[in-house]
Amino acid sequence: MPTLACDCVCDYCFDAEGATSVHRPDWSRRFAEIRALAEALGVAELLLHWQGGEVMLLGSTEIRLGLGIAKRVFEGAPFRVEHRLQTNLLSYDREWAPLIREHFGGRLGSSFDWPNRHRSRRGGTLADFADRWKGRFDAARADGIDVGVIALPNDASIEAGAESFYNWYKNAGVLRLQVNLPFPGRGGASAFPAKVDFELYADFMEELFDVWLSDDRAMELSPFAQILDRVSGRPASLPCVWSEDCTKLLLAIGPEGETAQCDCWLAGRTLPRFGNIAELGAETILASGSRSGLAGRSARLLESSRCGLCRHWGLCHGGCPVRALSFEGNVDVPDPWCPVYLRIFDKALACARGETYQLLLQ
Amino acid sequence: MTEFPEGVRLSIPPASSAKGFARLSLRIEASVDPLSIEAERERFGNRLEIIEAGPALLDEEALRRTEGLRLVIHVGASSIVDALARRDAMDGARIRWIIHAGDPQSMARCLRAFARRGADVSLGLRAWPGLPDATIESLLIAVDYYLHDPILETPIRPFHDFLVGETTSSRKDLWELDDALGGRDYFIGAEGSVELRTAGRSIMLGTTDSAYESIHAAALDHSAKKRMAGFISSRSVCAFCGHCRFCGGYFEDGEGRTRCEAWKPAFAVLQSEYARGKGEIGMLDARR
Repeated sequence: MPTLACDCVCDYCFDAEGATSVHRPDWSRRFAEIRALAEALGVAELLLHWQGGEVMLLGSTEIRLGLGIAKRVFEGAPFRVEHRLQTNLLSYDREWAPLIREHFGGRLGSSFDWPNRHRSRRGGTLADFADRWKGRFDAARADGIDVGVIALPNDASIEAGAESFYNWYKNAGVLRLQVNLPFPGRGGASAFPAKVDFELYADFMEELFDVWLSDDRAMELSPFAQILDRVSGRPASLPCVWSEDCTKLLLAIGPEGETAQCDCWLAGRTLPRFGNIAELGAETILASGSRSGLAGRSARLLESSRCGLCRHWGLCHGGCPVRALSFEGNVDVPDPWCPVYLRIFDKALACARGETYQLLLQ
Repeated sequence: MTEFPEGVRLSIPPASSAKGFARLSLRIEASVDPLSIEAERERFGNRLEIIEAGPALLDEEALRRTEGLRLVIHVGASSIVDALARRDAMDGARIRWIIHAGDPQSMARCLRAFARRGADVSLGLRAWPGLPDATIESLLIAVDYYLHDPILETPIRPFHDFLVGETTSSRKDLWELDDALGGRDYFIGAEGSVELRTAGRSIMLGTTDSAYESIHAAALDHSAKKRMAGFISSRSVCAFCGHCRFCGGYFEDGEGRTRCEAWKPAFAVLQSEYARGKGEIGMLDARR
């Protein structure tokens, strides 16, 4: 996370303070620290997710400089390096396209929630944000950039219905859509009423699954596509919220060297962190009590929560710790989105069984 | 008898080498003292292949001292957190997990913890000190998990062995499976005598100078040929049991008493599901 500064204010953002100042990171130092972490972990592949804040606020020249330094620092490393870019897209212009093609595989990730009820630029309106995002999305696609979109359904999405939600993205030209379930960020925000109706969200997600299947899976829709592959025995990488131990997959490092489990933990300033790698070094960071506490979460849930008795344990592993902490104030409880997950998993299993039966008949 | 620390017993697993008594298995029923493992490794050198022990083997020091050996670890629900915490230390280790759970919830949790992709998991056929015995309810949960879990990641023994036996020609009964799981109770006497002791019976099989194959063949021969004849002649319940073909009278103590009450319902479910599955596949074949 080369910057935590952002040009937007989003009701549900976990970054309650909303930093605005953009400082040039110490690229050499940060990448050296990342290399040390990766070597200490013995990874074979390092995916560097460039996200913030808003990364594009640094400007394409600075990012290109950073990428050049990364290449030099990682020279000869015993692991493969790949870069991914996540952005609100509002600062995108044609100048970014060559850089994205050269260093990010011609693709980037962004996010837009339809209908937009919670996101705006500083001093701007909800409608301004929506218009600008769509314009930038179209521009990126016209430049040949493959844009994946994350969407967080809100109450207005639920009210509009899954079919309208799906069709909006399809008609907008979105080919890769990832539906995430939100969690309390700033607290007391309008994004979250006093009590989330998880059953309503479960109905919505189940309906969305049906709409996608009826459309012959015309777009790559996460998490449904991955779950279906997984329960059908095909190789699949499920979203990190369902990993058995996300400390084995992710680590976030901020512009000044502060570390935490992921961007949610790092940007959420009141959430536990692992320490500053510039001061402590890779080995100490990896051995931090906060990190090992998270690493042991799934075992503790297995031993003593309802998750250990759940038929979908092998898919879910108790869900996301930051969601558990944000909703319930405790990581050692099941992810509160459990009712939604159960519906999605059951739906996928029913679909997979049907497909298997059809295959047997052929 | 060769002297070992209390609660430690030597046994002989099926030979992985063709040359006589090449390999030994050490079963440690007392709490494991890592130093004792070191002493036994020195005593038997590279003939020691397997360490079989309880959850105390999950101790970091014990794991370090057993590096390179195959491990058979008996676990219950109380071992879950320790076992998963040690997973990184166990990377590359060859471990067979033997699950002991006396209630359905503990069994469900244990299966989810230990029956991971690529893991080698068995249910405890024999009792293990300090861990609960299987019950009807816990085994029914286990067989249901094996048959119906949406993401079954590894075969659960002995249930999987039953289905393998039904669907292939390599049928083995529980005696042969137990042998493969970690070794029988071949007791080695101070003068080199080898006895098979199980369920109160003691059978002399030879000496440590004998080739392993002849010892093992003698044990199997005695079990296979004599067991069924013995059941029938004594009108033991095993002779009339529908599960004997798979069980082989494993739970019979040699005097007509059985301890299979917890297992029979689970075997019945397996047989029933197998028959139903066969029928469904037959119908699908007919429809094609």
